[in-house]
Amino acid sequence: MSLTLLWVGMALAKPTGLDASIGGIPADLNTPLQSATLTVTLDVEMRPVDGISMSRARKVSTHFVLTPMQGDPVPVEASLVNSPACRFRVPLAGPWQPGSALTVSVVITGDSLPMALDVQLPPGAKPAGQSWRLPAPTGELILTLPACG
Amino acid sequence: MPDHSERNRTTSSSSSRASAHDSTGSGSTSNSEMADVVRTLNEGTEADKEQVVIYLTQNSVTHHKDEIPETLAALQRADNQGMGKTSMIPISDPFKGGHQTGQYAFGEGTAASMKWWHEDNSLKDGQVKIGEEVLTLGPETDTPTDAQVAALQADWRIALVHVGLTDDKATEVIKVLLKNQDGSAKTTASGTGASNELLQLISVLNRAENGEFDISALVLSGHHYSGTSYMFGESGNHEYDDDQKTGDTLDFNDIEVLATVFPKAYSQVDSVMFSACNTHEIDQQNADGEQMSTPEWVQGVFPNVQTMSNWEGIAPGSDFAAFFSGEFMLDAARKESGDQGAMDDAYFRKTRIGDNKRWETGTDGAMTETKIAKNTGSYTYNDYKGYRNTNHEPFYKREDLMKYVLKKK
Repeated sequence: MSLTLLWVGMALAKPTGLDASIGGIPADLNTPLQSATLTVTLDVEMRPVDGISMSRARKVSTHFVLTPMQGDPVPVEASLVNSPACRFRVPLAGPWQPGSALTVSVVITGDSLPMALDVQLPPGAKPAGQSWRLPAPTGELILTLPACG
Repeated sequence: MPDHSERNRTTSSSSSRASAHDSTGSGSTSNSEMADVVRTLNEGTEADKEQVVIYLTQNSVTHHKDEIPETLAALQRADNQGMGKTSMIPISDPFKGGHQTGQYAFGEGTAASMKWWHEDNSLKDGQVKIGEEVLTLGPETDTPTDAQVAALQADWRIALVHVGLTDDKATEVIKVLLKNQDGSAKTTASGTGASNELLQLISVLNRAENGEFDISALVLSGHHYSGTSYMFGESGNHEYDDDQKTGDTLDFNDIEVLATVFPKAYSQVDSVMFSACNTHEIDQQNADGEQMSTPEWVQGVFPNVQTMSNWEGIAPGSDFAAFFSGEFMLDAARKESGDQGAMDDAYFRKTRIGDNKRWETGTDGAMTETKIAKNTGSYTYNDYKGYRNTNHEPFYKREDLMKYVLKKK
């Protein structure tokens, strides 16, 4: 039996106002994890402010598909809409088993950015095609929008 | 359009500035005043000295790739347009990628003789190794013992003399940074992680005080919470390093008290730029304990300041803040070249979540906010590449921009 959890992240903007936290693996997920995929979709809008084109995120969403040691895959979704943040953090901690790994993909939709999105993964992540593979996931995935004010 | 007439800085000579500061009661002895006069006569006026921007950034993760190169490109543009050459001394933790700024503040030889905790795993935060001697410049914990605090003074003295201060100047620095008014030992107001930036700043102030160059502008960059007295940095994963005692926090109170030790250097400063969030509220009080505005504090610390810039609200990330920094520095050069309206318009004025403010000292001596008109001709966006014409290229890999980074001879 598959279990679908919908978890809407709340923006936890730090006092400097740049950061928002989104999604993550629920703390009450007791099932040991063998592997997972994470897709982060960032819908960008370049909107002029004072005549200068600046980026903002119309919507940021995360979609984890967690594969437990036993049982069916568990999708976990979260989203932020019209967040004023320029940097988005996705917590990666969870009940990971030894030898487990996370495959991370980042999809950008909407307007073209003037410079590449800064994608920061925890140490140990390695490119795998258009994605990254992160063994023994921990820490955070951090996405920083350029030209964001 | 801005006036690009040639810079004329002889209108405010070093000697007239020294007089202005002395009138505020810097505590200089008559002998030192005489020495200043002699030095000024020997060295000539400000127009003869190298002009230098001190760019102090607490955020070492990104600034080498955007804010600093764009500001250097603005200095290059001012030079190319006949406004005179101004150089920069960057001050920072080691940038992400390893480039260090100690060589610019201390000189290559002195910097090479010092190993900081960033580069020697045997050292703790706030420690520096000179020869075989390990010096501790900041406490390890939020609650250092009295003995640990007292020991800091001896280590700071060694470090200060090593980077070029005389014994007397080192004593003065220790008196203001590491002693309470009753003479008891205290830690610096800045955190342990900022001890290297603080030592670099002191070294540069000492060089300016001794007449090596003139500080035309001071840039203070980093993160800042509203209503606090310190700017701070971040570690490589964007985690804020903001513990006031042990973190990478540079405190405005330390910058203020050093003015009594380096009065000539502080009196040289024409422009101050805060490239940090919420710098309209920096938690500074006057002698009566009343909150001071940022321009009030700046005028109190830098007696000859003419222009100032700060952020009300959230400043953008370094990639976008680069444009504000570059434009302010270019406009400051234009103003010093005689264009009194240079600050009155700007391409970059605000973002969605923050307003960049400009302030100018009027003929009545008061610093008031400048109403900034929109002028897309005042600077360039250049498809997000600015005047440096690149994205994310470190300044130290740009031979053309490195001509504007001052290297200690």
